[in-house]
Order: sequence, then structure tokens, then C-alpha cells
Amino acid sequence: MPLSDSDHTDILETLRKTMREGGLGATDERIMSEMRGTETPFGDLALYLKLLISDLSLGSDAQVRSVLRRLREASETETGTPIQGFRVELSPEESRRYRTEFVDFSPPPELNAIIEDLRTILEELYGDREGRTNREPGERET
Amino acid sequence: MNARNFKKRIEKAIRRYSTATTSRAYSLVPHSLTAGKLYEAHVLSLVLERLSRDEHFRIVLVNSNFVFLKSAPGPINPGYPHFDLFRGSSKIAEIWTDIEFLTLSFAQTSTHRSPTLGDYHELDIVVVDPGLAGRPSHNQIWLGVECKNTGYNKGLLKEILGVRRELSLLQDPQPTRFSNWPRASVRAQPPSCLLVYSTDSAALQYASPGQLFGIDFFHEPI
Repeated sequence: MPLSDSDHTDILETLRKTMREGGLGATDERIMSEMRGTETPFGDLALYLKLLISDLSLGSDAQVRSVLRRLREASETETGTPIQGFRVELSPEESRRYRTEFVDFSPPPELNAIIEDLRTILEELYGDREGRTNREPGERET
Repeated sequence: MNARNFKKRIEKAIRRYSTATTSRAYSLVPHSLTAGKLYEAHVLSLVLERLSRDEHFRIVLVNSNFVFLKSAPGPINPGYPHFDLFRGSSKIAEIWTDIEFLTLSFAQTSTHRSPTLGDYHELDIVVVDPGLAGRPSHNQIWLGVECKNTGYNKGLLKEILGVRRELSLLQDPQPTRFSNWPRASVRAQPPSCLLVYSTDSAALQYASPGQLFGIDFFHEPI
């Protein structure tokens, strides 16, 4: 049975509560301040998830986030994927000293798996929504 | 799938995020090195923002999905990641970081000799003619940027005045390759633009010679 408006509201409330309990209250506030133009509980939930995915993809380092956001807004890549981060290539002498050839400033790799999970959830919500709007006339909504 | 199931999966993902490691992989490298490069990346993002917004360039990172910065400057390697600048569908310039350029004095005295240490200087960010390899010549530079994540002093002013001297000769105002930002004209031939970004507000106290020689100073904290 497709999800109802109150289900969507309930899921969004749970999502926001989990964010705040997980120490991500500031992220929640930032996302809420950008929430505009939706008129349905489903629209609110989908937009929140989209903004959250976009926010997570910038990582948690404030300086890197700010640079990465600006780089992504001003430029694109050949492949169309967002710029992943920036890499400092060390000189041969530094590479020997610090035992690494480069230093990456980018979101932690484990974030990618989390982002993928959220994307899948968002796609399934859209799929569920489609099933709901395609239902036969007279069929119960919930 | 019911609402309870969605909630469970969302809760799980968010909890994983809130406990995900935020430790910096670069903790073994000295802060002075990473802080300087982070500042350079910060300024690069500001320069790209202005070129996109004010000059309406389409900007494309090529050869990688990572922006590359080098701790040691060098020549242009065309296979290395950099940005291409487009107007419409035409590529008209490139942006490189940590590049050495060949000086004006070298161009005027170098017949039949290779460059020595005094014949090239580093710029942190450059906009240059497209399709170059090796060290660009002074007259192939549209814009040079120096990034100083340090206290600004007279030595740094003298350094940038020296860079300006090796980029161009003082001239009546000449049109630059830009319509608005950073400048539409500059008292220099070739008419390159030259910018200094500094985390130190004292940099602005050294800005007055730049009004004549075409060097723009910005106090830009990170």
C-alpha cells in the first residue's frame, strides 16, 4: 500500500529527530532554511533528502566544504560528476619525508556509501509516490 | 515498503553518518603546508566564482575530478588536471596552479640560451593562453594570482613588484583580456592582471604602488 501524506510527515519528523540526536542539528537547520517551493508532505520529504545528500557530499570539514561548494558552483567536470575534492601533490623530498605522494582534501570515503543509501531511499520514495498517483480512480489513498 | 521500514533505514544511515570518521588523512603533514594549500584552494574558488559570475566564462575541470595543487611549482604539463575557460563553445584560456613563467627579461636577452634560476618565477594561480606546454612566457599570461596565508610585510610587497616588473612594462592604460573582473584595463604591456590575496589585513597598507603598476590587493581571511 502506498505511503500516505501522514506517513511522509512522520518519516520527515523521524529523519529530523535522528539528525538532531546525532549532533547534526546545525545541518538540519541549514536544510530547513533552504526548504522552499514544496506544497505536499512528500515534496518536503523529498526536498529534505535531496538537500541532505547534497550537504553530505561536501564532507564535514568546514573549510573544505566552503571551498568545494564554491568550486562546484563555478565549474563543472568533463564527466559531469561534481568535483570530488582537491589534492596537494607533494615534492619528491616531502613525499620521502611524510611517506605519501599527495594529500587529499575531500569528504571521507565512507560518506559515499551513506549517500548511496539515501539516494536509494529517495528513489524508492519516488517509486512509491508514482504507484500512489497511478492508482485506479476510487482506490483508497491509504 | 511501509513507513516504518523507511524510517528504520533512514535512521541507520544518519547514525552511520554521525559516527563516520572525520579525522584528517593529512594529519602527518605539517599544518603550515596544508594551511597554505588550503588557502590557495580557497582563493582559487573565489577567482573561479568571479570569472564565472562576472566574466560569464564556462569553466571545466579537465583530466580529473580532483583539483590538483602542487607543493613545488613547475612548468605546464598538458596531461595534468587544470581548468579550461570557454566563451560559448570556444575554449579561449586555461587556469593552472603553481606554475613558473618565463620572465620579460629572459625574453629580451635569451637568444640561444636556456633559462637559469633567475629567468622564471612562480605564480600560485594563472590564467594563460590555451594549449601551452612548459613554462609560459610573460606575454602568454592573462592573470596571475599570489596567495599569502601569512603576515604581510614589505618583503612580500617588493616580491610582487618584482613579479610585475618581469610580467610587463609600465604603459598607458591597455585593455586586458577581461571585460570587467579583475580589470578592464591596466597600465602594463603586455596587459596582464596581477592580484594578491592575503589573510593579513596589513596587506592593504602596502597596496598603493599597485594603483600605478596594476596590482590589486585583497584582504581575504579564510
